Amino acid sequence: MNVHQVLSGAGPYDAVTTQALAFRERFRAWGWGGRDVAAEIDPRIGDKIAPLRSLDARDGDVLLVHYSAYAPKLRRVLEMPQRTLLISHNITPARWFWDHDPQAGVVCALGRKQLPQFAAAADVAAGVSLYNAQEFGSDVVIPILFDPAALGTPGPADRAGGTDSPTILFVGRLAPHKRQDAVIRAFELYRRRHAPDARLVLVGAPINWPYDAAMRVLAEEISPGRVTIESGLTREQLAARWRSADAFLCLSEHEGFCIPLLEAFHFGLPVIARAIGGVPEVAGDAALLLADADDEMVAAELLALAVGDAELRATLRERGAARVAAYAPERTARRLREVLESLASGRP
Amino acid sequence: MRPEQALAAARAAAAERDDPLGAGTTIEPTERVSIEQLMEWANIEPDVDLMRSTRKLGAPITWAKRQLVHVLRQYLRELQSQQTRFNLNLLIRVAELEDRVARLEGLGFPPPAPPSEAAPPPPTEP
Repeated sequence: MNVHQVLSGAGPYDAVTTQALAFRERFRAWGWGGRDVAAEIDPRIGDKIAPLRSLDARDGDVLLVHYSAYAPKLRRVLEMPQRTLLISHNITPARWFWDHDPQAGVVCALGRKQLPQFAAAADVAAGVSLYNAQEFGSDVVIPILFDPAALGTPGPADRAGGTDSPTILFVGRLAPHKRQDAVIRAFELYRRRHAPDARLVLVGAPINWPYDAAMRVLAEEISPGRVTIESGLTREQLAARWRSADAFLCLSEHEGFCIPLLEAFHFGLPVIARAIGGVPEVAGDAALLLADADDEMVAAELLALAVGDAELRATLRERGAARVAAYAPERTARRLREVLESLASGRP
Repeated sequence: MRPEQALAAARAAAAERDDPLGAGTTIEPTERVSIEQLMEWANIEPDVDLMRSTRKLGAPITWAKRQLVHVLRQYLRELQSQQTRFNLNLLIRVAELEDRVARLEGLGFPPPAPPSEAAPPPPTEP
């Protein structure tokens, strides 16, 4: 069987490209052919992804469209006679970008508007989470292919347990909807009352330089010298950040799936997160979830419990391991294969 | 403590605290962009200082780009002024239309029904 993957855009660090390349590895292992193409390609990706114009699908081939941004060129793909699976990787609502990155706002607004039409044109439309799939009236879920082995080993069982200088970590693009501003404030409220020597590490590429500068200024105003903002880390450096952290704090206002939750579980960290989008579905009972009405003060107090209460940490660690198992790559790969094989055989 | 008890405990502890942080940048979503904000955005005026490189060794490339902008300034200014002229005129038209609609609604003309509630079109002759 041949499965051709079509991406809106491909880059060396973006999650969707990483996902497509992981899928391709599985396809090869199953003896399947096909090639991966994208409408827009970052030259740093090399020859792993070909230009969209080189797509050469034959009768009986299957097209897998990864939809993550506005891409008018993809319309042509959905009009092709081959059977098509569309996987939506979630698009952030434009309202988070108008003030900080208007171009991204336009891409998000158009991308979200176009999604229902694209989903209707595909033979099967799936989301990476149920939350995501329901945005266009589907209940087909093909989760992110999360491979914990690629992240490295977790490290000591539990290094916190009363440490005087805990490290709080958040991993995610430095972007408005990720609310690093709220993370900084919650951290400072925690540090001030419970752990004066604590530090906060924010890892993630900024949407643009002015936003990066604004977050750095805010960090210095609120919690001088206690916040580190990093990006462009190697896999080993990122693994080291996870291993040296004592808790993961995520106050995002929009998440379609939130891979860092599973990464945190893999490294045995307690997770405090806002219960939005796909977060409750992915985290299950393994995270301490904040409701809409809970402010940064509540997040700070939850941090204190998550860092200092050994029994709570142990329970969360155990439940986190179960969530990682629930998203085991073999399970996701099996689900992906089922959907693609049923598509190829002409079943809906 | 069990995870199920943690949120209630945190809320109780937070309620007892009286040490809020001072004001600072808060990121808020922009649900509806005001016409004044649109006017500000319509005026295309890129700041060359915002051309920054975040990559290692990217500074010489950014310097070269700045030089290119300088060399092309005559063309770029014309481009900016044409785009700004179009943007602002379009926005003024929109603002005028909004005013007219508001005046008409004030005179008793009801807003139009949404398409789904509108009367069906008359049957066409075979």
